[in-house]
Amino acid sequence: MKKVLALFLALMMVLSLFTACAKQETTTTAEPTPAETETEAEQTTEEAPAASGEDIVINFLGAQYSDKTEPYLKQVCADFEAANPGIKVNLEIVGWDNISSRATALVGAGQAPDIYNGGSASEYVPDGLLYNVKDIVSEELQADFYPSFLDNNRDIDDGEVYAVPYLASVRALYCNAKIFKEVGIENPPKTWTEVEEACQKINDFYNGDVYAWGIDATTTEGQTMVAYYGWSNGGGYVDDDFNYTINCDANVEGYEWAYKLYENGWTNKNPSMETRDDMQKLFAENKMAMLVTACFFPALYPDTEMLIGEIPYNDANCSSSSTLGVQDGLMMFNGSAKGGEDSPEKKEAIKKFLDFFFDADRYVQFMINEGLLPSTQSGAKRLAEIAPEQAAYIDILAGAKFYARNLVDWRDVMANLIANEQEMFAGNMTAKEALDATQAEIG
Amino acid sequence: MDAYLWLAPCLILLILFVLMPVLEVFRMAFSKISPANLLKEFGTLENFQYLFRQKVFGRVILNTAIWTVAIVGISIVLSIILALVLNEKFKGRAFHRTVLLLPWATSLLITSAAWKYILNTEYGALNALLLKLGLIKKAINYLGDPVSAFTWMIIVGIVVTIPFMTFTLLSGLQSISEDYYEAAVIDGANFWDKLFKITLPLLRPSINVTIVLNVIYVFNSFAIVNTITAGAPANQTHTISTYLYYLAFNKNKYGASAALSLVSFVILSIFAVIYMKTQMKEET
Repeated sequence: MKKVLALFLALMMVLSLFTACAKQETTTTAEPTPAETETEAEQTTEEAPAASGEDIVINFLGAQYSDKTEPYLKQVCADFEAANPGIKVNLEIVGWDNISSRATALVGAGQAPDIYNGGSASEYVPDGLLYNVKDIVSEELQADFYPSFLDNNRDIDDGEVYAVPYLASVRALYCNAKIFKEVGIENPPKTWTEVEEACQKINDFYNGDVYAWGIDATTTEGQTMVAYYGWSNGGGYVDDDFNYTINCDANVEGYEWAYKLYENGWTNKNPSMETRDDMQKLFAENKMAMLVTACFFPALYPDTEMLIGEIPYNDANCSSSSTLGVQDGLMMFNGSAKGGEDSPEKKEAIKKFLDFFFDADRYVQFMINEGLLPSTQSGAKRLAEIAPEQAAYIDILAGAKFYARNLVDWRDVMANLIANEQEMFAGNMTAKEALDATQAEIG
Repeated sequence: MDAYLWLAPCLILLILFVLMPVLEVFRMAFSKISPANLLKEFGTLENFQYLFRQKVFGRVILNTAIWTVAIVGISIVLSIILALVLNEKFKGRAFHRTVLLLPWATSLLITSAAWKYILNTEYGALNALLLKLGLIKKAINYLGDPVSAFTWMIIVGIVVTIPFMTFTLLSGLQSISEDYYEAAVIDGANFWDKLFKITLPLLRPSINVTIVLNVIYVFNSFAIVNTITAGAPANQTHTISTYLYYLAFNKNKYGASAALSLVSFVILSIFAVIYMKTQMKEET
């Protein structure tokens, strides 16, 4: 008996070692992504394809948006290599949670990737590590990007653009059609007053068993609160000169309104811990009635009937809604991040790859796979032809506002903002104190 | 000379994977670091100044102390009891020893993720069980406030610490000769006399080593806090390990993160000295 047990134990340990080793070699799972994806993030280390001594090698570090991301990008790279003999593309796909630490490690070691999808260009521009877009992107492709998207990547100091928009998404208000029908509400609420009325009705109808409204103040999405409750009241993150306006009166009033919904018991119980992903599940299980989230939400839960509206606004201060657009960038590291200047041939190869990647027919497939929106006008046109429902969001995107990610301390300020929001939901600070504290902490 | 030759592989590994990273962290902690994590200028204290300015810094240090003392303290008491039980001869002892080892053989990340799910307000197994048994009327939000969340994480910490501790103590118990107990019985000693006058004094070296080893291990523990709360709400449930990760990767403050690593290194070095002294005492 003892021998059998000993053998079992030994086997268990060997197996656990084995799995650990296997994991290291292939994939590591991480928490769901912070940006624009739902599925579990995965980190995959790719074996470099064998390249002959004369081949030009392009290193591409990309983020995982869904299970479909890697197979799609692998295929694009393979097709590009087939069409361009002598150029190899090394693809490395990393989950959103780990991509910035991976990039940081590579940059620190002087081995930055040639093309990088993730993070913010403003972190690399001060050290002069990125190519100016006009030096590495063909003129045709530059002209194809939505000008407002390119502008959003413009450096505040020198006015130049150091990243191209890779893809985008917009936020909208999603209402659970089943709940709305049962309660007797016809349309998504447009204003704060209408939201309050709907919340009251839903809460009364289900006796508090269904959350009427979802709030995410976690480290994943907490920064969106200024967009959802500040912009919709005439506030915002920054003024026209890119000075932070976190504690402006409009934001304070917006936060007070959000806190009121929470205090009334109309929202999820734990905004500091429950992420957007958790709430999307609640919504799909008919336990949540209204949630502001990203446009790929319907694609994730195709069986859930939804009514789609704009982010509600305070009609006392605003005349229309403001949508948050989120844009992921693609940046190209120059020689100083890679331990040596790129040859003209290599720069040409990168240019070629980008043209190939953003070719409308190919690129639109990527957007359909991921439920995201194209950043090129040709891509948008093609999407409208084959997936008009998804393309409808492009019009909303045209009027969307973006995060001020071109500020170098953006991540630090947003981390402080989220911590103070959580203090507010814990009852330790008022909305004004939370936003005043955030503003005061700006270095 | 031969001795050095045999030691060389180990020394080279230590230099490469312990000494060099430690020196690099030193350099980072005292350097200006750009947002892209490039070292700019050596010889500044601004990373430490930034770190000490953070309003949660004190809370992080206090949490780490509570975390370490509570987990190690409670685990050691429970482990001694368990080790004593498992040292007795009873039917199914081998089975129980095996079962006890299983949580230790499971990855900490998986255990933590499972507990996060168990404690979930909406779907959690704990709420489902209590609701079904009629012990509660509404789902409880276990991770909502810092005290409750931190307490639950300490419970998880205790659950994963007990197996290793128990087995270390069990090996200590097995090295105590039966002769002492036989002699004691002849002298009329009862169970408590044997426990307090023979077992515990003779187990003391094992207990000391277990405590010091686990203090270092629990102090550095990252997976539980990072998986279950990641410091939320309001950074009130961070320990040093998770806070330095937060500083580097959420706030982009690599220098301050290195400075905190250094603070943690100093604290742990003090424990290492205690450990060495405990070891040397035993040898003499």
